[in-house]
Amino acid sequence: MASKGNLTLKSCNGKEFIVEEKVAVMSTTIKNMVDVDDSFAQGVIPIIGVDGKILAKLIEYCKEHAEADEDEEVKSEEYLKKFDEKFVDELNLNDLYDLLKASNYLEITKLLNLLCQKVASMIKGKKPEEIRRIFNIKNDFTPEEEEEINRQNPWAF
Amino acid sequence: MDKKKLVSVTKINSNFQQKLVERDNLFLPFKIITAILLFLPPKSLAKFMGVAKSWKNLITNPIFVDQYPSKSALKEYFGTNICLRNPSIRKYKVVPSSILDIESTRDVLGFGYVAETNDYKVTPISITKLGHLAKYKTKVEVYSLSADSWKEIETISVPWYIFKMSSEVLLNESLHWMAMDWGNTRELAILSFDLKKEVFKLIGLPAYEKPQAIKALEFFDSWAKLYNIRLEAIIDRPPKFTNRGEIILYDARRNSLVYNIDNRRSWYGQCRMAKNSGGILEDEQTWK
Repeated sequence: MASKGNLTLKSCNGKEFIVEEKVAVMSTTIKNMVDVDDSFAQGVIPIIGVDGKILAKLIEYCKEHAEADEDEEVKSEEYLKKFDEKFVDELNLNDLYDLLKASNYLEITKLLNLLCQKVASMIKGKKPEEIRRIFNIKNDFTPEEEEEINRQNPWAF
Repeated sequence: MDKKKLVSVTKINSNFQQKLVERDNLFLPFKIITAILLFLPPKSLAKFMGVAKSWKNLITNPIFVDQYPSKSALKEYFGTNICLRNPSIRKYKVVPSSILDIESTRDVLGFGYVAETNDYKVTPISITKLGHLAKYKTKVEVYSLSADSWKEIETISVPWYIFKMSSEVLLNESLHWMAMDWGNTRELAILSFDLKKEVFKLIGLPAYEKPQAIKALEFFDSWAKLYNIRLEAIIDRPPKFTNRGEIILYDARRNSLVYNIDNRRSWYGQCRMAKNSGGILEDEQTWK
């Protein structure tokens, strides 16, 4: 049971994390749950579809940012920037993917943007066929349409 | 090396690789894809329009363009610039970006010459739907080549839907389009823009009643019947005239049909109207 001001988050594989409310409500989804229904604030909040490993990562990120929001002197902008850089650099593709989905679902906008920026930097120089493979997208252009697009953007290749 | 150990090592390796392959592609919701693309530079976006139709639609969607951090950089890159080209001297000029933010919704792009000032003018017109209501706003601006600058034209109060396919005819230094009052009346008329005076006027269609909506604009209605022509083909575009007393018409399949006024004979021409050209012939040499 969480003490006052703390919330208990439970991952889909049963791991429980007791976190400060200010850290948990970095997630708009959790904030809405707590705001609407008081019983969430008392009991355990199930985080559907997010396992313990990913939830721990999310909490790590939110903790740093919640603390920085509260006290700029201890955790300066520069400190946060370095933390963010290190945070995304240490992620493997699996974690990056899971975190993207989790931060989207939990509406942790700052983190979602950070991760999207990371993915953008990874795919920036890739060719359309590589993008299709990475995102598992089917090419639904006819050969003529594809030629037309290439013709319109010759400088992009 | 122990054979048994080697086998197990290989197995772990192949498992690991299998896992990598499985996770080598990301099934992501479209919302996340959108968020990722917003972080990409215009060059990558232009390239990724070729990924799939959904990506192309997203990247060219005005809402996406609107969310993009550097809208101007995006538009500059996407070739929405207007380019004027003089084929005889093989020179071209890229028209500077317009003052109005209408490139993404541009509907009609008029072009013509004004003799008195020896000036070429470009007039993009955009018709924007306002919200979910059936209300439309018409925006017009004019670029003058001699001044090398843009000017916004006072918007006409009636939202006109301009039929691109049956446009545009340049006559007496005025651009003419077939148009429909998109407000209440849904009436048809010829919307004309005087390039010299930079004003709009309306020309009623022959045998049509004077439209109500024209109160806002100067109205002209003086048709004279010159010829009766009998044709089998369905004609939905304004005719063109040659200096040999011939009329060139286009049928629904964009084939050109030539009609000689003197001997009243018609035949199919040797050239077709270019796709999406709105009237430019594919093979202009045929008409020399």
